[in-house]
Amino acid sequence: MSEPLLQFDLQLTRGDFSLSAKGEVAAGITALFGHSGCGKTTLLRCLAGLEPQVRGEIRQGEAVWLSAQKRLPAHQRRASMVFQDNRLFAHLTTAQNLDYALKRRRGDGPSRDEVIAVLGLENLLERLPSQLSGGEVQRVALARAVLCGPSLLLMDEPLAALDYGRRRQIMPLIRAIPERFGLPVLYVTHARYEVLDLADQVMLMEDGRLMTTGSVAGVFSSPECWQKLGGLDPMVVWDGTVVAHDTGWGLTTIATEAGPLRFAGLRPRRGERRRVRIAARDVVLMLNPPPTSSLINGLPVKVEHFEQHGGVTRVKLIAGEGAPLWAEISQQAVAALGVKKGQRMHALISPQVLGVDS
Amino acid sequence: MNLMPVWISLQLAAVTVVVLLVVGTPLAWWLAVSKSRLQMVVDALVALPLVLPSTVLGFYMLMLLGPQGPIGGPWFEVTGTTLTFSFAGLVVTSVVYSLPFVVQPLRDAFRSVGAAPMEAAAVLGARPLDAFITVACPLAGRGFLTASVLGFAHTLGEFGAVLMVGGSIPGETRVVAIAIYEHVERLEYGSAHLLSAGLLAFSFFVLLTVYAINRRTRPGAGR
Repeated sequence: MSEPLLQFDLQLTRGDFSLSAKGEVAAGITALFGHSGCGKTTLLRCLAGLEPQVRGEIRQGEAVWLSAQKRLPAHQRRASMVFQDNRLFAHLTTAQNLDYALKRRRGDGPSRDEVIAVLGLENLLERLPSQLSGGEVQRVALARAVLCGPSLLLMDEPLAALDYGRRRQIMPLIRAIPERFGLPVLYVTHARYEVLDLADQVMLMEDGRLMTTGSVAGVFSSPECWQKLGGLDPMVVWDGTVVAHDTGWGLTTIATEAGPLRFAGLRPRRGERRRVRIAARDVVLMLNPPPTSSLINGLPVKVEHFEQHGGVTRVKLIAGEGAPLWAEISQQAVAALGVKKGQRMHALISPQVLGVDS
Repeated sequence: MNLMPVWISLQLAAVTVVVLLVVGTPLAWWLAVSKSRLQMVVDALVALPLVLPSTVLGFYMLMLLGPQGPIGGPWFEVTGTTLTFSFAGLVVTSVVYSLPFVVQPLRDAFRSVGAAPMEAAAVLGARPLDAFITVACPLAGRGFLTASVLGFAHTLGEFGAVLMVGGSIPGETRVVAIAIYEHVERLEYGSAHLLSAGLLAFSFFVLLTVYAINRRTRPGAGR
C-alpha cells in the first residue's frame, strides 16, 4: 500500500512573515530543510490544518484538504504529526496514549501490536509520559502518530531535544516508516546529517519560500545548493546498492553511478540501499593508475573544467561511468599535474558511507 | 439546637457548585482561548462579585428575581412560585456571586494547559468537543478541584445577598450564616459559637485539603 502524492500550493501572511510554498510530498522521506525561523514548522502546521489563516490548495489524490471552497479541519485530514515537544497526553499512560489515536483512526493503519513491536514499547505501556526518558517519549509519540491511520506523517524536528546517542537509536525507526507502514513522511530539520542519513528527497526553504526540491543526492551534489545548505564544503553524494559482501576480507561492494566502491566494516544486507558521500578534499588526483595504497577505491576520471576558488582549485571531474565528482587541490598541484580540460586521470577517493543501520 | 440551617447551606453549596461547573466550564474555556475584545469585558463582568458589596448584588438580584422582575416574572408564570424567598432563588443568587470563584481558577487552569494538547488531539482525529472533554478537562483537573472547593466554600460563607433575596425561612432559605446572625441578635451566644466554630473549622480543613493536593500534584501531571 502506498499513498498518493500530496500536492500543495499555500500562501500565508502573518505580521512581516509571509509563506508562499508550492510542492509535492512523494513516497519515502522528504526532508524540509532550512534555518530556524524560515517557516518550516509553519508549512507543516498549514498541511496539518493547524493554521486557520492559510490560503491555497492541498490535495492528496482524490482527497481535497484545502481549496478556495473547502477547508477540512485538522481532525478530518489524514495528516498526523509528531511535534518537536512530543505532546504526549500527560494524564494518560503509554497504552492509553496509543489507544487514544487508535479509537479515532481515520483510515487503514497498522495494528497496535505491530507498532508496539516495531518501536519497542512493550515495557513502557503502563508508564505515564513523566516516567519516560526523552528517547522513549519520542518513540511513543511516533507510535501514536502512526496508529491514527494517517496518509501523511509530518515530523517537526523530532530529534532536536535528544542527545546524539538517542538520535542514532531512533533514526533507523524513522527510516523504516515509509516502507513498513506505506506512509510518506515530511520531516522538518535544520541538521544536514539528518537529511543525508534519513531522507530520499529534500526541499530547501528560505524566508518562507521553497527554493529547491530534488533528490538528496542531486541537491547535495549541486554547487548551487552548497551555499543554500549552509555553506557546505564541495562534495558529491551518490545513492548506491549493496551488491556483494566478501566475508574473507570483510569488504562490502556498493554499486554507485560511478561504478562499484568497496568498504570495510559494514554489516549490510544484500540489496540494501546505501548512500555515499565523497568530499572534494578527500579526492586525490594522479596522472597514472595508483600504486598500491591503503585507499582501496580508485576511479578513472576525466577533467570537465576547473576554477580557482579562494586559494584552492576546484576541479570538476566525470568519474567512472559518468558521475560528476569534485576535487579540491592546490594551485601547485594543478601546475605539477598539468591539469587541462578533457584530460584523463585517476582519482583515489575516500568515500564515507551514510545512512543508518536498520 | 436546630441543625436544619447546616443542611440547607450544604445543599445550597452543592447545587451551586454543580450549576457553576456546568455553566462556568465553557465560559472559562472561552475566556482562556478567546482573542476577541469582548473577552476583557466578560472577564471584568465575571470578577464583579469580588469587589461589589453583597448588598448591591442582593439588591439587583431582588429586582431581577422578584415576581415583577425580568426573570422572576416568567418564572412565576411557568411554575406558579416566586424565586425570591425560595431555595431556587438562593441557588440563582449564589451562582452569580460565586461565579468568579469557579470561573477564574478554571480559566487559569485552561490557560496553563494551552493550545498544544488540543492541537495534538486534533491531528490524531479528535473533534474539538471530544478533545476538550478527553484532553483539556483532565489536564485542567487541579483547576476543577480548586474551582469546586472555592465555589463551595464561598457559597457557604455568603450572607448579605442571601439575606436580601432569601430572607430567613426555616427549612427553605435559612442558611448557617443567617442562623448565626439571628442567634447573636437573640443573645444565644452558645448556639452562635457552635455554628461559627463549625463553619470556621470546616472552611479551614477544606482549604487545607486543596492546598495539600495542589502541593502533591506535580505541575502538568494534571490529576
